[in-house]
Amino acid sequence: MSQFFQAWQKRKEALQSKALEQYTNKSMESVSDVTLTTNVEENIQLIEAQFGKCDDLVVRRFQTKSKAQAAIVFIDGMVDRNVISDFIIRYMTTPDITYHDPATNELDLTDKLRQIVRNILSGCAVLIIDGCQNAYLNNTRGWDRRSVEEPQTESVVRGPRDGFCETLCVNAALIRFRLKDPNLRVRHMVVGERTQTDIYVMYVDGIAYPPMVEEVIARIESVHVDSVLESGYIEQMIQDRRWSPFPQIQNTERPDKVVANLLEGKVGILVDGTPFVLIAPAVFSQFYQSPEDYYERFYIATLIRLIRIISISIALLLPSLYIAFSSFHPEMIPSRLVIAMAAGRSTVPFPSLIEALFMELAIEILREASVRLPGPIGPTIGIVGALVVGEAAVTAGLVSPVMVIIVAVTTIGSFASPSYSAAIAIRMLRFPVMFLAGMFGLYGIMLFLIVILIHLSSLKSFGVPYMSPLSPLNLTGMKDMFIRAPHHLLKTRPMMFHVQDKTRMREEDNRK
Amino acid sequence: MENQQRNFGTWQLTSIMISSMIGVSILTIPRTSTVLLHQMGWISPILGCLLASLAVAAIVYLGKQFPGTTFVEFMPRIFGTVLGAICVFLFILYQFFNAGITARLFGEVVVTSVLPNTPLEAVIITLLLLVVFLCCHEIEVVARVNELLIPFLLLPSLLIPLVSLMNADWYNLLPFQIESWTNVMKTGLNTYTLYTGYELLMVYFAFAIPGARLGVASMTGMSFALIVYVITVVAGIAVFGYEELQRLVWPTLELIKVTQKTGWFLERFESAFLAIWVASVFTTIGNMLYATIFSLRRLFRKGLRFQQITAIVTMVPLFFLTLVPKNIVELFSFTQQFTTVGLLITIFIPILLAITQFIRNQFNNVREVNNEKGGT
Repeated sequence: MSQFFQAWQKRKEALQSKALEQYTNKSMESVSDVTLTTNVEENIQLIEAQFGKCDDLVVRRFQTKSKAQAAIVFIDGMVDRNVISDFIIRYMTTPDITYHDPATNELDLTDKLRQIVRNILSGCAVLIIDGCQNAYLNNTRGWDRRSVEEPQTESVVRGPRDGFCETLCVNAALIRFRLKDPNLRVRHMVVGERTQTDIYVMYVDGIAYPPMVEEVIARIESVHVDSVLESGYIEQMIQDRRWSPFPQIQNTERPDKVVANLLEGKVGILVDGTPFVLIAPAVFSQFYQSPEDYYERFYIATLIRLIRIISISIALLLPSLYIAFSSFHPEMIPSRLVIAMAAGRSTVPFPSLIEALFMELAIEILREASVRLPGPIGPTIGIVGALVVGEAAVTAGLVSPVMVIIVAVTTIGSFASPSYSAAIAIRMLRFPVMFLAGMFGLYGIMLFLIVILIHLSSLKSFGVPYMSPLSPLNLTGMKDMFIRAPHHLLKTRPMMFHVQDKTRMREEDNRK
Repeated sequence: MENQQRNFGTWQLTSIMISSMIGVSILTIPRTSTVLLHQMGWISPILGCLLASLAVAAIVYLGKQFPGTTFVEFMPRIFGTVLGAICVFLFILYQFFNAGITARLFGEVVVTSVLPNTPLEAVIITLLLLVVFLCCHEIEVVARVNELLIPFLLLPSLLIPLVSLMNADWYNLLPFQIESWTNVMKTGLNTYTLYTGYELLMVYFAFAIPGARLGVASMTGMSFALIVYVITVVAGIAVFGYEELQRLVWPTLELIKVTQKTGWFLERFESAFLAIWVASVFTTIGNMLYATIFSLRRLFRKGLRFQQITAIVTMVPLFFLTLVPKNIVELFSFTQQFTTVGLLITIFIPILLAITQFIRNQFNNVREVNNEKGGT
């Protein structure tokens, strides 16, 4: 048995390394790492050879004030044209200005071809001057970017309205703007052999547990993939357990949430090209905690948290409870209700499991369709869906009226979770538990819950147990688990992330 | 031995202890404790507790003497290789059978009261599959699962007897006198089995965080179990009277059935109770079988893969063993005989181990003192 496993694993590794070789051949590494010469035309040819016949590569030749031949190379659309014309070309050609370098805010010198190609691709303008072996790399990045807007997936009633956008540096600035701490550290990384995606790993030095930060960085470094189009790529490749349905890294569109998490000793991972920022490690509380909880007064925040927990349990269990009650334990339902339910079900030809599956499937299709539909038609599908799936299905005798209520409540319940990716996990787990309820009733539901609990207790996210602070029990952490204690009681940071600086608030500075 | 750090906190040990002890036996305890003692039946859990506490004290002592080692390592160290190996073997076998009996008992309860059309085999198989799933994980998962499932055990086990006291007839508890002390002793020896499960601490204490208070953990666990058992028996006697109790197979389940007033939105509660009780029975069986399979793994010094395969392999004979008793009467008599064997394994062996170790320590101290004297 174990020999078989070893052989299987060896084969898997061999396949992996083979795949790795294949795509590294095609990547940035294929750019020959030669140095430039002192001749402008030769250098231009060298660069153009790398890009092949590429029509958006602009080469502008001109003469500097010292009558030397020069050329500027950039990619159309990725640069700010005003900077190039005003501060590079005009600057270099006007005889009055004695200063020799271009007047851009970020300037690098290099003669390595690979670095030049990489910089051109990321929106730099490269200035080559005859007689000079080094090329000037000017930061002229400037393309059309979406402005900072309200996040689509996580809206709050009270709290800041700005959300991340697709540009990495803007996102980093949104975090910096809220956390003016010199200890906020940013580590830059490039992942993706072809996409060359920039990634920032952010953490607060002195709060975050250094080995954990190193672990995050090491895991990102170990990602070898040709493209990173969204932070989900990184999330799925660095998470602890790849076969788990639960998200082990949190994602968010809200800068205030990232800052709050950085201050709890977690690590933020910003990926260029997506408004979704990753937060690691994540624990189970991400399913029902929202930044808004800390902005409202604590009674209300606690109440809302409890409501979210209830609605998540409803989203997971209500259809299966209906199946279990109606097919195995009708004696548990109050007798008048059971008569009414039986009357409603009398025309339904299917067992309750099929009925529930049918309705759940219909509602899932509706939900998916309403996400894909173009904006103006969206509400229409809601009305059509409500009419067809609700009223008509009952009249046609396909489902019972109680089932319609249950499906509606379940669907609404699954929207109450502040985290979309967590809510999807719940939405998916609803189906197996329905089957088990159809087979064993309440006993089956309990079996399933125990399986989930075993799985949850075995999960770890970057060394932090997923169910902490509930298990291992930490009473200090419980103040911010199900309830949200008032701020003056939350003097310490949560311990489960091994924070270095434990206190949030000093005793003497605050009114008791 | 990767990933086996000592990280069980005091509360985790407490919850392991409580959930290993409270299992199926709570469903029959009002009957078994009143067979001989009649209206004074509530004494028997106290007597059982006293008896079990001796063994628990011995186990705590051993846990402190041998931190970081399970019974697999310390039994041969105290008793010598041969006798120790026999003890280890007996212990593993006992856990194995005990888990089987618990699974069968619970299967009977579920099949007779909640799922009458479901075959007994299906219930037992699903329960054992759940245990296999648990055995596929590292030992720290066991502690966390117990910790997470403890509310499912605490709430119903305390609430149900208390709520059912609404129907109580307190005269059933009178007269307040003991008729025969021999019967008291007999029942005490029988009802200590309510507390079996504490012996698993010989495995789980090995993973206590250095500095975890083993004594506090086991004291809390014992006293909690004692309270639950006593109030369950009191409620059983007060509601039914001891004569009627003899005719009820699952008296605690009947207690829930007669408690009608609790139905605010659910009319009857026994299905819900049994569904919740799955968690507590699962932790009992899971802890036992995990301890069995884990000690086999320690014995052979293998890794997690060995444990997973062993779990799957041992579940097959266990499943057929659970089906050996033909009916519930045979099952009860089998359980009765098993109690006597259990007395030897769970009470006498730990106490003997502790005494031997204590004497050994005394001798070693004397020898050390002598050595010091000789040295100077």
